[in-house]
Amino acid sequence: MVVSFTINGTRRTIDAPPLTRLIDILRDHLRLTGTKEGCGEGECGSCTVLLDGEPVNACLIPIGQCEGCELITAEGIVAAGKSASLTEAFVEHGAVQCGICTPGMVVSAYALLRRLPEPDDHQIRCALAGNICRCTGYGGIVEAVKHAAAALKAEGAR
Amino acid sequence: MSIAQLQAVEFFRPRTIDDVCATMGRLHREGFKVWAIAGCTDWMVERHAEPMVEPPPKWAAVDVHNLPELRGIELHGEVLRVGSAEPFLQIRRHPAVLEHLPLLAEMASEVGAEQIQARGTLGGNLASGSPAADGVAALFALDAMVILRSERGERSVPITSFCTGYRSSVRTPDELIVRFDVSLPAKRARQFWRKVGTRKAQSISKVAIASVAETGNDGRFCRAGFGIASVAEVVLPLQSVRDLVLGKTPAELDLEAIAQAVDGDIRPIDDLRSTATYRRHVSRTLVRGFLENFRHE
Repeated sequence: MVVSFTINGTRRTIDAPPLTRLIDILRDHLRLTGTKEGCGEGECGSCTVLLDGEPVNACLIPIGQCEGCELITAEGIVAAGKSASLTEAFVEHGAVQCGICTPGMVVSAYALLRRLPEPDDHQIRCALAGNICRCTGYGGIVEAVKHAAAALKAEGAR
Repeated sequence: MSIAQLQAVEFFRPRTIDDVCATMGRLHREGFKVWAIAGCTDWMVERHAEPMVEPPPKWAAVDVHNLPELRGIELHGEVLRVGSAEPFLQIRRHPAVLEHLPLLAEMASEVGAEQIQARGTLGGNLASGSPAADGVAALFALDAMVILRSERGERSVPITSFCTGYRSSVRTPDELIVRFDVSLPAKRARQFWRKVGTRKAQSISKVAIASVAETGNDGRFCRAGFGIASVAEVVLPLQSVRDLVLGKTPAELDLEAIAQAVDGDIRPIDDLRSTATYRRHVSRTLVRGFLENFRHE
C-alpha cells in the first residue's frame, strides 16, 4: 500500500504493507531511530511521537492509518530547535540515565508545553504518565520540564 | 499470531459507511474473521499475544478510524450522540461532555495515558469485550443506546443488553458499532466515576464503577444507573441495586440491603490484579457511599 504523510515537515511517500507498525516504518524504512521500542504494547511510551499534534504510541499504529497525517518525532523537535530548552533542562536536571525513555519523554513534554506553557507538577505528571522511566525516579524529569517551561517563557518574553 | 503475521491480515479502507457495511458483509460471507479497527490500542496488543497460526487464517481488518459517521459528539435535544470512533482525548475535552456528562469525561481521562486516550475509542472498548472496560462501565451507568449498522440496516440496542457473556455480545460479525446515544441526566443528577487500580495511569482496573442518579420533584429516585467493571466476566449494571433505589426517597434507602444487593450481583475472582474479597469491599463501599450522599443534600 502506498501511504503519503508529512514527517518532521517533509512530505514522504512509502510503499509498505498497511499493517506495518508506524515504529517499524520510522526506524527501519526512514532510519529515524530516535523513536525507541520498549514494550511494544503501548504501556511504556518510549515510542511516543506526535500524530496530528497529539502524542501517540508508534508501536500501536498501522501505517495504513497514517495517510495524510502529520507526524513529528523527537528528531523533528530537536532539528527545529524547538526543544533546545527542553533537552538542555533534561541534561541539567539529571532527567536522563540510560536514555531509552528520553525521546518519548521529550515528545510528551513538548506536546504538554505547547498546550499548557506553565504546567504545575500534577499536570506534568499526568502528561508524562504514559512514559515509563526505570532509572531516574521521575523527580529529575518533572524538574526538567518545569525549568524548560520557565526558560521558554523567559525566551518568549524577550 | 505475532507482529510478523500481522502482514497476513487483509486491510481495507472503505471511505463511506455504506462501503464499510458492504465490505464487512462480503468478507463475513467469504469466511473471513472481520475486525473494524480504529485506535488499535487493544487490537495490536491482542495480535501480539496470539500464537502463530499455520496456515495463515482468513482474517481482515476494516479501517474505520476516520469515518465521519463514526466521529464527533453532538447534542440532539436531550440526547448526546457520541461517535464510536471518537477518541477518548476528544471526549474528555468536549464542552458538552464536560457540562452534561462529567463521569464520561473523568473516565476518558483515566482510561489510559494520553497516548492511549489519543487513539482509543468507546466503540473499540465495547467491541473488544473486556470485562475490565472502563468505557463500557460508564456507558452502562448512563444507559446508553448502542447504534449498530450493517447491510441489513440500523438497529439500537440498550448497552445493558449488549453483552451476552465473556467477550461475546449481540453484535453480529458483519455489524459496525456506529455511535452511542445518551439521554442527558438532569442538572441536579449526581454522577460518579471511580477507577481503582495499581497506579493512576495506564492500569487495568481492580474495580471501576460509574454511577448516575437523580431524584424527581417528589424527592424520589427517578433515575439510577450503575456500571461496574472487573467484578465479573462481563461489565454489570447492578440491576438489584437499581431496583432497590428507584421510586424511593434518599431517606427511605436501606443501605445495608443495598450493600448486600451489590454483593449478590457481583462475581469477582482472585487474579493478578486483585482479590475477590478486596473487590467486594470496594464495590459495596463505593455504591453505598454514592447513595448515602443523597441524604446530605
